[in-house]
Amino acid sequence: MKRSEFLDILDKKVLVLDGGYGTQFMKLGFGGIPGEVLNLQNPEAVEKVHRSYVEAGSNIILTNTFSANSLKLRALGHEKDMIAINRTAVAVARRAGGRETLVFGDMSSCGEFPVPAGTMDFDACVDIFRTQASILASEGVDGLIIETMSDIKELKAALLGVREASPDLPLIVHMTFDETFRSVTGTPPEAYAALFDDLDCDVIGINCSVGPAVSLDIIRKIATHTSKPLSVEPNAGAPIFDGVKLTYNETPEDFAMYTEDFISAGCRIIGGCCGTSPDHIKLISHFATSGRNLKTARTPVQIITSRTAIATMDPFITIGERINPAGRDRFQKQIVDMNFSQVLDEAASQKLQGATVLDTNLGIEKLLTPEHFVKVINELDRASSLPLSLDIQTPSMMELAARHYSGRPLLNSARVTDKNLPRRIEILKKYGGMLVLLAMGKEIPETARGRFDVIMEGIRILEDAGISRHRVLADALVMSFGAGKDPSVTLETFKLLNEEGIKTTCGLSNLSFGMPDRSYLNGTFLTQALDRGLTSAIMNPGDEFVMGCLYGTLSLAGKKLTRADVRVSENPLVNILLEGNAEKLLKEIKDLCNINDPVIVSQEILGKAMEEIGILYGNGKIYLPHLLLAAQTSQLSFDHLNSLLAGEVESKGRVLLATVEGDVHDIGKKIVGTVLKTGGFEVIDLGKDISAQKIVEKALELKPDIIGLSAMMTTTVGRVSEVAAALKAADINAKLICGGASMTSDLAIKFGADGFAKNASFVTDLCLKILN
Amino acid sequence: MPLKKHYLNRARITGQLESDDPLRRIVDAIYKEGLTLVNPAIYFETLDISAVPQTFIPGKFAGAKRITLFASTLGLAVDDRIQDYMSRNMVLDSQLLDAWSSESLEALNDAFDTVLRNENGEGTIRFSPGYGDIAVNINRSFLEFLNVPCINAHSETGILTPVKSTTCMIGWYA
Repeated sequence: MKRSEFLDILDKKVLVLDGGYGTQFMKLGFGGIPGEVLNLQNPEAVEKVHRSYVEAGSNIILTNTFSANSLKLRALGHEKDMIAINRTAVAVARRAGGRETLVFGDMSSCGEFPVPAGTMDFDACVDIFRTQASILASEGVDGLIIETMSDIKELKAALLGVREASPDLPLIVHMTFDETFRSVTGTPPEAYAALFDDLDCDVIGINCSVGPAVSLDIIRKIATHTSKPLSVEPNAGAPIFDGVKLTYNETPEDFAMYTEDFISAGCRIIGGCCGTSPDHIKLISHFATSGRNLKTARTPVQIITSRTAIATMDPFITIGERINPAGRDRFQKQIVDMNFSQVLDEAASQKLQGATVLDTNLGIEKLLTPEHFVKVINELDRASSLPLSLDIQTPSMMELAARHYSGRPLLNSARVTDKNLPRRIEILKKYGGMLVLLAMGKEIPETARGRFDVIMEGIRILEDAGISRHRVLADALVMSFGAGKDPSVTLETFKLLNEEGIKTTCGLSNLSFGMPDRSYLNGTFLTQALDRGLTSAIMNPGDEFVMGCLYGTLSLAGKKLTRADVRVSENPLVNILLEGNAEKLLKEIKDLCNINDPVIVSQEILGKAMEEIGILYGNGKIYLPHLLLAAQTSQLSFDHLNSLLAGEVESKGRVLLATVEGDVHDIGKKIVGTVLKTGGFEVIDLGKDISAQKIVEKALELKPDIIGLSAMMTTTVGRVSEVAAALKAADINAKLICGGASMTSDLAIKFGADGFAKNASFVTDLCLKILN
Repeated sequence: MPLKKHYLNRARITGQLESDDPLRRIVDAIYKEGLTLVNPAIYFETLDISAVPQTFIPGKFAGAKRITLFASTLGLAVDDRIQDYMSRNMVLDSQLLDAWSSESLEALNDAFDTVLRNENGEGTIRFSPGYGDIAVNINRSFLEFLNVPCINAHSETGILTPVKSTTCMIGWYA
């Protein structure tokens, strides 16, 4: 099916997707077999579930290939069957769907995140998705869906892979968010929507993790940041296990009552995820076809984003200029040497000073390699940086930075020439973002009208290429006052652009280059520019006079500048940990060791700082990437302290972790491990797909205080019960705790566990309570 | 199940309820509660027009050869809960549940209407006593005629108990 045909359908009607498959396979007695393997071992069962959804009213069914990528199948021991599994899945779905039902190829996470949230190489991740997508496309699916993605960068890799394999098929993308409105790796729905509104997909949506009520809240946030059709597949609430079978607490009626709300919010595709059945789909289908209220187009709010942070245009974006080694030879040399410590320092300090976006200029690009750009992007991402302005001159390097960036960047910049602008347009189209458009072609016009005309010509070219003017920040060009340039030309250009509704920016500090009293000149000019409608500036947020002028002018205009959420703790070590600057932390720790016993530094100072990090995470003050960053940042210092102490430090307890047999999901368990290490526990991770027998053997050998089990799938939660019985039979007294997407407190008790953690933020408290 | 927009319209709630609007949670909770309270039932009979008492047949049914008489109800539990909310001064909850159950009953009647029309072909509008030329106080004899066990009508006012009940009829031309 052509993408335009698919979008035409969505303009006219709401399409109903299918529901959950895991619980349906369990009902048919196939709970113990990985779902994808069923395609080969029992295709009749798969077809039966497909048919039940078709009969319930699904307009689209998904191939049974959710985990049929090479990495997941390798973990299940079925990598060699990947082609056969995907091919058969398409054939089975097509047979069940007949002529009327669309068949979309289903894809999801590799099970590992790309750098920096995980360890996987980004391009390798792209390859995995490209390979699966090309098989599904060649088998004749009507479209593709990438769903249940919890890391925005993995989803971006997946989209790029899919589009390399299949540029012409309709593509739906889905992320998954929890009830705090964040993905596992800290991305808010608005940031997700803004980036994927730019990228080459047709429908944006969410699935899994939460029921329809919370899904509706998330969909509404997404709707404000994209004009694309939306899609939703909520869970049927929370799972309930009666000792024999697993059910979910949202009845079809409970679930279907949100159908109209979803449609009103912009959803054109509605289905169900975990726990939903043909009964749910039948009722959704009823409400999706009666009383429709198809809304007209939405105009998305323009934002610049990183993985975790958002910079809004209204009323002003402060773009920090300090990540730029111009005139700072030592800084330039550090960058060339791949030492990004000062970059991270500048990022952290500008955030504190009130920047909302960070201009990132690595200086003389001839001295640098592609690795420099990839590394700096990942390092800033790891440090949960503010959104970035990619101030890069070499197009190939700008493209590389945009490719590896986890948000919606500001590309800085493009001139309106035949050579310069088209290359930036390519990057914008492929990787998304906003563009700083300079008011110059080959020359800089001397008059305001001339500069305005150049910008409007650039916007015309951008719009011809399908890029909205809302994605432009027009730079009216601040010139050196000391070189005799008249600042009123720039001010008048701002005014003309503002009257046209074009957002504007400038390199503020250029004004006073080579002049005395730079702050006063810059601050005064900024005030005048704000009066003419300036909406952002690349400037030094550390200049108190200039920042005072900014806050004062906006206040007098009745506008309030929202500063990024900065400095979450009074403890300076906590803030250094959250900056991700391991070397700076090590220096502090060494200084502390000069006046304190290393045991005190380890347990009472650094240990307490890490405990506070855990509490901040538990309270939702920081997000998972911050937590992982802090754990990673602390490692160098803990290693140093341990070398001084030589085994004097006692842990709070030994924890053995494992993902149960048949389950290959271990991201959540790794996060739990990191949180526990952060909290002072010794953690031994046995890995994934671990049998009860192996867990017993390791427990006897390692004598842990606690055994933590993870089971994500509805088909594997029951394994926890087997492990509990095996531990009891072996007379092992370690406490048993468990967690995972399909686990609940009630289930944990029924399975014989001593505790349950809903997510990683609760696990340290749980372990401390159990041991006390 | 009623359409949510009908439920909200009847409750005089217009526009989108934002996620942080506390009213949204109550609106959704009442919808779910309603689903647990109702015990819908329909009693019906399709007869030759000559077998139906003349006092039941509205003038608009001229030309009809057969008539389906039916009575529908959601049961007593929803009435009781509305009264319970009222007695506890939970006026909003009672008003929402009242609106929801009224629309639920309408949805029930619409669904049954569709079934009847599929079976009987062209017919008149769906008509209830109390409109046009048929007085509401025939309800008692209407229910007695249909032999409905669980819906009562006041002999003078025709008011039905459970409150969320209706009496209806449709004439068929074939």
